[in-house]
Amino acid sequence: MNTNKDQVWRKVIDQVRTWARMNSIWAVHFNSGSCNGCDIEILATLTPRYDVERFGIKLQGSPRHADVLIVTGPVTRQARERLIRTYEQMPEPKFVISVGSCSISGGVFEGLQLRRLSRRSHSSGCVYPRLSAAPRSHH
Amino acid sequence: MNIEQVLAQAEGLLAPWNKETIRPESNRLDVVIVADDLRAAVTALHDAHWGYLSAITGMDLGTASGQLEALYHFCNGPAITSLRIRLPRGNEAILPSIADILPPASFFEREMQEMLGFKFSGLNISERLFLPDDWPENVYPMRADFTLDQAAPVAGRHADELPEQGVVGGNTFVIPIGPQHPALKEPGHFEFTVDGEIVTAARMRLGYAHRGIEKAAESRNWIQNLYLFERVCGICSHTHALAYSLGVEKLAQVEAPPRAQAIRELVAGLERVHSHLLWLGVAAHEAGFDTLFMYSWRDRETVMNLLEQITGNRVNYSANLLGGVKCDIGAEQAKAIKEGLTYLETRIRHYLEVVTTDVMFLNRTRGIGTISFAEAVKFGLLGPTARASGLVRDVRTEAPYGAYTHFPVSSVTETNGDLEARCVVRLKELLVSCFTMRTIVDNLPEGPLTTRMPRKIPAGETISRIEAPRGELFYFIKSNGGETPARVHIRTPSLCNWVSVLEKAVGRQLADVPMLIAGMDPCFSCNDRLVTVARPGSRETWSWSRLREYGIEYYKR
Repeated sequence: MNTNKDQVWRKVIDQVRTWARMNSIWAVHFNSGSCNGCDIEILATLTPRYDVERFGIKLQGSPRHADVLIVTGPVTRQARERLIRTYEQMPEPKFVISVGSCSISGGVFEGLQLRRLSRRSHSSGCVYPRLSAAPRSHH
Repeated sequence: MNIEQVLAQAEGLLAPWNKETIRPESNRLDVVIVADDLRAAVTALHDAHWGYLSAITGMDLGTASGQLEALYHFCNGPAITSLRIRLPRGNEAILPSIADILPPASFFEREMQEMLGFKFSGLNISERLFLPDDWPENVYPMRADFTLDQAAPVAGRHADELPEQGVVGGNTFVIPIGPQHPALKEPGHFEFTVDGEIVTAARMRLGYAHRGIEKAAESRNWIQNLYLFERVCGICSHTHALAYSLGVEKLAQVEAPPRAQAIRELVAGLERVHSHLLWLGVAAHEAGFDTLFMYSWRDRETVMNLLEQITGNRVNYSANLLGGVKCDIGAEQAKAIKEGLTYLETRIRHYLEVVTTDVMFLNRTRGIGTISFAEAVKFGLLGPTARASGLVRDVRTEAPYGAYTHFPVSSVTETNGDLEARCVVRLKELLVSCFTMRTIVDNLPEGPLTTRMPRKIPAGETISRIEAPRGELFYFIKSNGGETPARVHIRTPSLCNWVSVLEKAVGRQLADVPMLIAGMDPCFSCNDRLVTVARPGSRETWSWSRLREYGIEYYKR
């Protein structure tokens, strides 16, 4: 029957789309006032030792091309609006990764003149993302 | 000349305006003057080439005293002369600006204006540098009577407005770059006015990483503050912790044991290696030379491994304690360090060859952004950026601290003052650091790792100066004898170096801007500090990546 064929096609297309999304995640990185510790570790994942590009993950400049927003740093007042704007520019489906304890809970900056935003997903909650847990390429 | 003679010289120069002399520490002289005599006093020191203006500290002496205090710190080798001025706390805390005599003062004055409410006559910049644009007027966060509810955002304003740019010749073209910094994605906002290809004016806006650290320090105890200051910057975290620890130890009149001092210097050296290799990669990325970026960061992993082996973490090593260090170097680590250093030295020599011979890279660096020796002095440059112009500003050699008296380093300088020179200086000084580190590992003094520190630090003021990878880091710490500091003022090296970027961008083409900014190794989080380009014709917004690609494409032609 026609509807059956449509459903099958739809299912196949969805699977292809999901496969494509899972295998080439493009991320946009936003520093909302961090000390850069987490940022340089994020950048280090691109470099030969961890080489995240072999998974198809790329760090993009434009939020409109990104699937994932990687946020570091306690959200300072000045960075807050930009962060929200960046998030809104991303097309669905989108995810947010908070890296480091500062972006998750404020870290050592808890209670200072900063703002909180709710997040949909969190990275591992240790103070610095442990790259030793990331799979290494052979170098 | 020894320190006493050098200070006596300063005292002589300042005699006409000296109201009171204080000697807070053996290497420091404080001269109390009145606001009206400030310009004359500064000119006297400047004309006699007595040191350089390193920082201006502002303090609120409390509602009870009704006074604000400003300290102008001039450093000459290890000797420091500070001009102290007391002013009433009300809205009449007016000081004459010295930014025309000493350009770096403009950033320091703007910080004091925003944070404490000093007013500087002659400083015609009222736009915000650090605080967000929706921060209410006349609310000064560093004042003693500041409360968070006073800082409620002003309705109708955004936290970061694009600064109103005056119309230049009938038209302006604005390229705001930020708050996304190049590869590191550090937030900042610069504004360049452009006429065709050539930049005709430059301004900047910081504040995106402003976290209120100095204010927070006043309500955390001495030990908690160590962990706070480590996180001012992820790249030079150890230097911040070191500056703070050394300062507090000085106030407590305690000296960390020799083994601890040596280990501190070792970790600082490794930090310098990681920082400069990081910088090399970022600068290469800015020039479009991604291969160098990947290679240098791969080699950087060697030093990250060493740091992890010694301290337990790749970034933010937290090796310091008040009174010493937490981590020790055993035989196994010593062996690993030496092997790692050997490898790194080979690689650094290779990179030195690359940056001095690769034609494409030289196209972007040789003869570009040249700062002469005289300009370096005038702009108050610090660190490798200054040393590339032949100006030796290096706290490790001018005012050795910690173990540098036992394990000295030599300062590397170049004379050309262009971007290439800055690359060369950074790489060569890594070779010097590697050599010194090897010496330390082979001659590590025996002994304990820490010494006892009191919980309450005796009252006093101290200045701690450390050579961070980017230049002189300045910490002013004041204690009132309690468990929390009364004031900690941090002046990071990048704050002084920004002025050179803004000045040097003018007259150069837009395509060189990314490299100019990268060349001074900016650390936004240290300063926390935005770019706009204005061109006759229209106001346009460019992202940093667009500007960076513009630069790469331009040079391909």
